[in-house]
Amino acid sequence: MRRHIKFLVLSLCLIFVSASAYAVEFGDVSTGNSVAIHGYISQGYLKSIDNNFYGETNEGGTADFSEAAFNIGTDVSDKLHIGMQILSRKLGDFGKGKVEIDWGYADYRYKDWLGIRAGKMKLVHGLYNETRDVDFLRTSIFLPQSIYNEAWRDTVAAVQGAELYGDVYLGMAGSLNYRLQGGDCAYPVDSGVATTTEDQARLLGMEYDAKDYFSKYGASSALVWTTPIDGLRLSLTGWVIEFKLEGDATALPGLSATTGGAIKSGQALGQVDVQTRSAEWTGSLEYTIGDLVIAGEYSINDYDFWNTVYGPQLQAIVGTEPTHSTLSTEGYYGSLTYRFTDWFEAGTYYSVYYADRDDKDGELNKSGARAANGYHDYDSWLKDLALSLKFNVTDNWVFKLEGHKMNGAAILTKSVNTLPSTGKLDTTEDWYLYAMKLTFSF
Amino acid sequence: MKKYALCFSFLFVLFFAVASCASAADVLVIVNKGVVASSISKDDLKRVYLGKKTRWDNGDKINFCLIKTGLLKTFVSDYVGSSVSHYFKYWKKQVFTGKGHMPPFYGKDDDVVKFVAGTKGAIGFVPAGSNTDSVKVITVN
Repeated sequence: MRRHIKFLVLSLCLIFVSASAYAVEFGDVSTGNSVAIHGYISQGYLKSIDNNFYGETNEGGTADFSEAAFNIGTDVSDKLHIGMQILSRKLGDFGKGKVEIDWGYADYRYKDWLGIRAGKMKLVHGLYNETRDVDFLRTSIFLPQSIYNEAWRDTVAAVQGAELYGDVYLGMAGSLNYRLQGGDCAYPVDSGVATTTEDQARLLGMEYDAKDYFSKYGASSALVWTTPIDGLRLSLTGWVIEFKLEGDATALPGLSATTGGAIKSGQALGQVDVQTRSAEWTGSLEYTIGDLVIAGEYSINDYDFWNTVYGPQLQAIVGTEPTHSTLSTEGYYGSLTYRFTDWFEAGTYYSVYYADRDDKDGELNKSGARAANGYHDYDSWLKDLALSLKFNVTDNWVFKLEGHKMNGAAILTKSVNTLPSTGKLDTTEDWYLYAMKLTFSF
Repeated sequence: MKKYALCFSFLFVLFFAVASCASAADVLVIVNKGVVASSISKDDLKRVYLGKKTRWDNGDKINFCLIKTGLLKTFVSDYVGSSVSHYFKYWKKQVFTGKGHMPPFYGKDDDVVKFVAGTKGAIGFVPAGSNTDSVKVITVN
């Protein structure tokens, strides 16, 4: 906590640093022969009442909520642009403050309707995934979790490979922007994806400790129609990724209960490989009328899981061949934001997420291993009413306050919402989350 | 009563039509003298300032700039169909996703004229009545 206070004080001192509102630049901007450096530093604080939100937010709150990023870019020629951004982020156990390349690529724009990028690019997902870490550009601190789940942020952060893109002018019909990306989606084994897999394992009565990660491929596409109506754009994005996690499983009380005690709680179950294919489609609408922005998105994510077990106890139950299961999640939201003055904006959204489209009422949680592991019906959904206030203190400084009234506990990281004494899930149906954030950008 | 309502409606529409024309007439769109075009469509001007149209018809790169005065609000509203805050937010998004860089902007009309005059393929906008001897004024269709 002391470290975060020092960070805040240092950041406040930056108020007196004379800097361009928009960049640090070297060279002649007017001729394009320049190198521009931009960046931002933010520090936030989270406090929840009753459930932990990706970290220890319930007891006393947490300041493990920060980002810092710097990017550099230049035009190598009038058709070729190169740039890179490094990012360090921390949200509870996610990110851990590690410095990584957020994006870095070469961009050759052959024509307005055809360009190619190569390197590490932000993956297209919905309207706002590319800027999800740049929250000073929007009113809210958190994007709706129904579409922009923080646990899956690493999964959909970037693709390493190539991209074809272009903007096709349609005359009176507006314009169509397209993007096709393909490559590899690599991320740390202790990222949010592993956390989500661990949460899925809990549904089966196991605690899963991911040790290694292998990416097979990642591909995404986007079509954004900027309509002839000023401010109205519609979008359809889709992505598919496939990867494998290797890890060790341990029995939880739920598995012990469903095997009639044949497997003891806490018993080591051996290696389990989880191969996952995830495919998501998102339809989006954004309408900007002056200082009012109306937005809405709807998304479906279809999962295929192939689990291969190596321990004799689990093989005795499920066999030696990989087992295949599927899951489909659904999420949607509607939002309104309004800029009242140059220095004040407010926004609200209502977001709904179902962890299983085929079990929206959470009936499956009421019996078997899930019930034995402490699951309730409300662990299958998350309904979030949010209110955000944004203060544009100066061109460089932004301060935000946000409150969420939550119903349901889907998406929440199960490991931080488990009773250590019993190993069972311990969530509450109705809870609140409060957040504040201070950001300096240039 | 109907006659008065009709008359009032006509005057109402006329007032706003005149107000809109007055707003557009405050802005002169200027280009480098080497640019062949003598006019530009409103759609194309919008696409230029959103970075979606990057080449003139002859293939030359379009370099555009902004002016940091009250005229910016008029231009962005009338020709880009946006507010200044949303417009800058749009360009910051380009910067922080690596898809572009902030366009140069100048505090004075003379600086805009100097940039446009001295940069191949350049386009800018200045208030009506500015000294445009060193550049070419084009019409917006």
